[in-house]
Amino acid sequence: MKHTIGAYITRRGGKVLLTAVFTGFAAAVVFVFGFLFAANPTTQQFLDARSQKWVEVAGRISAQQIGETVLEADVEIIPATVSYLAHPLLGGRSALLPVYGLDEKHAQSLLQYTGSTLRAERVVPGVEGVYLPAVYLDAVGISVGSEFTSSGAYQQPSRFTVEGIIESEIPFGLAAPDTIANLPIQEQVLIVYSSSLTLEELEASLLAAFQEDDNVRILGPSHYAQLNQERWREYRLLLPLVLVAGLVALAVGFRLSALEQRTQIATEQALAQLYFHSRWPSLLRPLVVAAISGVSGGLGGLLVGGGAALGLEGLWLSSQGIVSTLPWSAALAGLCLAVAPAAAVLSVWMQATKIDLFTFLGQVQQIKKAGTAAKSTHPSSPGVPPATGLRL
Amino acid sequence: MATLELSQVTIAGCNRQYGAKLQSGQVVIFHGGTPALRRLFLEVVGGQALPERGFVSLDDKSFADMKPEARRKLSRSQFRYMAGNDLLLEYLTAVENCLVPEPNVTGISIERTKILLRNLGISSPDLRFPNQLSPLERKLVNLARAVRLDPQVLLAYEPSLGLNDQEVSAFYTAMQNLAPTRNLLVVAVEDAAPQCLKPLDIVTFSLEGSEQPEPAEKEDLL
Repeated sequence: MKHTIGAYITRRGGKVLLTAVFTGFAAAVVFVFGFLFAANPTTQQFLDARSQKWVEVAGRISAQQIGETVLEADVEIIPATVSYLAHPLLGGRSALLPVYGLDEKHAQSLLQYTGSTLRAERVVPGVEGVYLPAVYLDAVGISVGSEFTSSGAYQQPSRFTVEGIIESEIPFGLAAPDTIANLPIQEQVLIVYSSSLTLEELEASLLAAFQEDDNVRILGPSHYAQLNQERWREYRLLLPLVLVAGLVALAVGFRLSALEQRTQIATEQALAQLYFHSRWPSLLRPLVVAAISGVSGGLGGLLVGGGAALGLEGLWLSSQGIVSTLPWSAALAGLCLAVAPAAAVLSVWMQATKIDLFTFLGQVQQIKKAGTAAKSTHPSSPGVPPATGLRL
Repeated sequence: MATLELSQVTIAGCNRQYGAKLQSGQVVIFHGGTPALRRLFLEVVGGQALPERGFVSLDDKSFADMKPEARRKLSRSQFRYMAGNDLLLEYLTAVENCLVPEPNVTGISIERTKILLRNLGISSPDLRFPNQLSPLERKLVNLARAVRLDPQVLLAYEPSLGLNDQEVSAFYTAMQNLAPTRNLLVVAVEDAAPQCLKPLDIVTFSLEGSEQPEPAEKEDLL
C-alpha cells in the first residue's frame, strides 16, 4: 500500500499521459481562444496609441482659447482636420485609424514630435493622396501606389491613392488639409501636447476649463482608458465562458474515466481495512497522480498554446494588420484546467470511501479479460475454464 | 497450534446453537443461511462481534472475557480475512499484490512470496499482472496474500465465489495443502456446500438445518 504512486505512474503511464494530453489540449485551446479574443481590443488599443502622446480637443474651439487655459505651460497646438479609415479586425469587426489633414509645417511638427519616419517624396501628399502606416496597408492588403476605396460604418466610400508610408509607434495617416476637408464626414480637432505637463495634467486642466461646454470634447488618456474598458468587456465575458465550457467538458470526460478508478480506490480502501493499514496512501495516490497529470498537461498545453499563438501571429495575424499579445489572463485560465483531473477523482473519491466492506468483499471482480488472457498466454492452467456467471 | 472453540453459540436473529472445536491444519466450511447470518457468523468467529449466547475462544481465551480493545488486538494479530472479491490491484504483479500487507518489504520476503506462489501453482508470479492470471490463479494469489503474515486463523467470506466446480475443487485442494504446512486454521463461509469436495478431507457444517457436521473428524466437533 505504500509508495505505489511510482509503480502506478510507470505501469499506467498511458492513462496518465492520456489525461495529461487531454488537459494540455484543453489548456491550449483556451489559451489560443483567449489570444484570438484579445487580438481585437489589443489592435484597437494600438490604433489609439496617440492617447499616450497628445490630447485631442474636438468641437467649436480655437487654439487661442486653449492657450488661455494653460497659460503657464509650454503647450504646442496643431490644428488639423481629421477623418477616419476603417481598419478591419477579426470577426468582421473594424477599428478606426485617424487620418489628419495637415499643412506642411504642422505635418513636419507632428512627425518630429512622434519620432516618425516618412517614406515618401514630400511631407504632405497631393490631393486624393494619403500617407498611411504599414499596419493599415497590411490590414487592407494594399501597397504604395495602390488606389483604394475606404468604406466603413463611420465613413462614406472615399477614393485614395497611397503615396507613402509613415513608420511610427503611433499609427496615424496623413493627408493634405483639402483632401480631408472635402470628405463628407470629417472633424476639426486641435492636437495639444506639452513639454512641461504630463498628458494627465494637460487633460485635467482642459477638462476643468471646458467640461461645461457641450460643444467641446476632450479626447485624452482618461477618455481612451474608459473606451478600453468597454473594448475588453467582451474579452472578459468570453474568456470565462470558454474556460467554464472547457472545464465542464474535461470534468465530464475525466469523471467517466474516474469511474474506473472508483473500483481501484475501493479495492485499496478494502485492503487497507483488512490489513489495518492507513487509508490515506490509497486515497492520496489517485489524487497525486491526477494532480501530476493535470499540472504537467496544463503547463504543456500552455507551451503548445503559446507556440500556436506565436505561429498564428507570425503566419496570419501580422499579415492582416492585427496586433496581438500573449494574454496572461488566458494563460492563467488555461492553467485552471489543470484542476479538472483532480476534481474528477475527488468526485468518485467520496463514493469509493463509502463502500461497505463486506458488501464489497462479497462482489466478484470483473475478470472476463483475465480468463481470455490466461487462456491465450498461459497454458499452465489447462482445463480451467474461465469463470461463468460472474456477478458484480 | 491454535484451537478455536465455539461453545453453545447463538447468533442474534437465529435461535440455533452452534458448537465446534477447530484446530490448526483444518479447513472448515460453514454453509447455508442468509448472507447476513454468514457475515455475522464470521464476525463472531473472528472476535469482531460477540454471540448472543455461548462463547467463542481461541486457545482457551474466551472473547467474552476480553475487553473490546484486547479482542481487537487479538483479532488483528491472529486472524486474517479473504473474500470472493480477490482485491487484486491491477497495476501490481502477483508477487507485489501478495506483499501489500507487509509493513517492510525485504529481498527475503519477496523470495518467500515467490516460492509460496510457485508452490500454489502460479508460474512467473513476479512478472504477471492480475489481468494475465486465470480466475483460479487470482483466488490463489488472494489466498497467498492472506497467509503472508502467518496468521493463526484465516476467515474466508465466500472465497470461491465466481469459480466453477472444477476450480472450486482446485482452490480448496490448494487451501487444504497449505493449512497443515503453515499451521493454519481456515474457517470459510459459503452460500452452499461445494459439491466437489467429496474426496477432500474438509469439514463442512451447515449454518441451518442439522447441527451435526457432515463428514469426518467428529472428535473435534461438539
